[in-house]
Amino acid sequence: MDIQTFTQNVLKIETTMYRVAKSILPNDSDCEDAVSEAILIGYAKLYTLREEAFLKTWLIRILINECYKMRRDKKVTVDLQACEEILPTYDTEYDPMLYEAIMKLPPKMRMVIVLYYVEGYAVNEINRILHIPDGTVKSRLSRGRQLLKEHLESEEVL
Amino acid sequence: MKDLKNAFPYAPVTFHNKINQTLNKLIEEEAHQNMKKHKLFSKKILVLVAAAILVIGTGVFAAGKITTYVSSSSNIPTYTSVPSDKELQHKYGFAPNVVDTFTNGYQFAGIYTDNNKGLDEDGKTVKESKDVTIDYKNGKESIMLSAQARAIDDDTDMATVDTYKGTAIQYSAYDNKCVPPDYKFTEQDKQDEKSGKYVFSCGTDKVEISKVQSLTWYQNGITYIFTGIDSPLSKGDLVTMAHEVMDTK
Repeated sequence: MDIQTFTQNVLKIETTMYRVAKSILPNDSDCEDAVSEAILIGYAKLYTLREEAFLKTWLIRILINECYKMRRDKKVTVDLQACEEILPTYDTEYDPMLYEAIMKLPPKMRMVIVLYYVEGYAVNEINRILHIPDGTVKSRLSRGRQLLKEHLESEEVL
Repeated sequence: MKDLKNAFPYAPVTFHNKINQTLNKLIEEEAHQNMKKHKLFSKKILVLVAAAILVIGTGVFAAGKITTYVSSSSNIPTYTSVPSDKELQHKYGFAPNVVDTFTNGYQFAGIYTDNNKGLDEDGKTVKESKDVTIDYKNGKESIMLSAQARAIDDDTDMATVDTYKGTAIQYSAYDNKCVPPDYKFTEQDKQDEKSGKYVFSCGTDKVEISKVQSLTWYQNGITYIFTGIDSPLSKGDLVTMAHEVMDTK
């Protein structure tokens, strides 16, 4: 794969990369650094990619690793109040309450929920990205959905 | 349940800019690498090309502050008969073993001088040296013996094939694809380079593929390298010739 094809593919998944990074790192600046690093690593290791069709899921996998690494190294914690303050408000469809509810989910469930419901990945694709069996993906989806519902209901009550 | 797609805001402009910066950096680096490849003369092939045409090439050194190796040579021989050790010492600062005629019939045909410069990242000359390239001919066949007053480069693709009088002799063979300076690398070329199918070098008018053999050893502070292109000589023949060079003094 040449650099032009790689670039085009990266630009196609720009939004997905942002959302995936944002579901682990609340700070936009950290998201930018993690995505940048993931792109550089992805291109450097491109020769290990067996099929071009898997580039998107492969890059997302690298990105998730980079985000967790950054969170670990920088000891990033999810401060929901701070999240709310830094989030832009110009996006009319954007629902900060939903973001808060997602960020309250345990990280493993959160990533499955984001990949499935927000990014529209199929169970077998999530299996490939996260290296977990289909059954685990489905159980995390089920449990995550339930927790999310509970979070949202408690927010509405408040 | 609510539409979770609304859980995330639009990516900010700074995010988009960061991605663009990163991709531009990759594109620039790729272009730079391609340019270097086009200008690159394989250090191994350089020894042979040097005898035929004026060449200037670059190669990358692994150690020290030197990042680029520039070599130039002339097609005019410095010596047309075997010089004395004293002459060689005076001219090059070292006196390699020079065989007049090998037992397999290859005969001394001339000595060429390679001027080498080691450049740092800023392009400043850090080190200069002269290498000796000895041309041997046997009818239409030829082979080059290069002598350098420095240790063998750390070349991991060379295997020790013989030890003579306590000196290890290393050998490697590869297919070389020599391409014109303006040649555009294809995806297949990149795969071939990564897989080791071809070593690429640059400097010919058209694409040429050759079988290159290299035999090297380090003796008395001098690295000797036999290099043959599409040579009928076998690995064993080269080892025998190396023995003869080592026995000269």
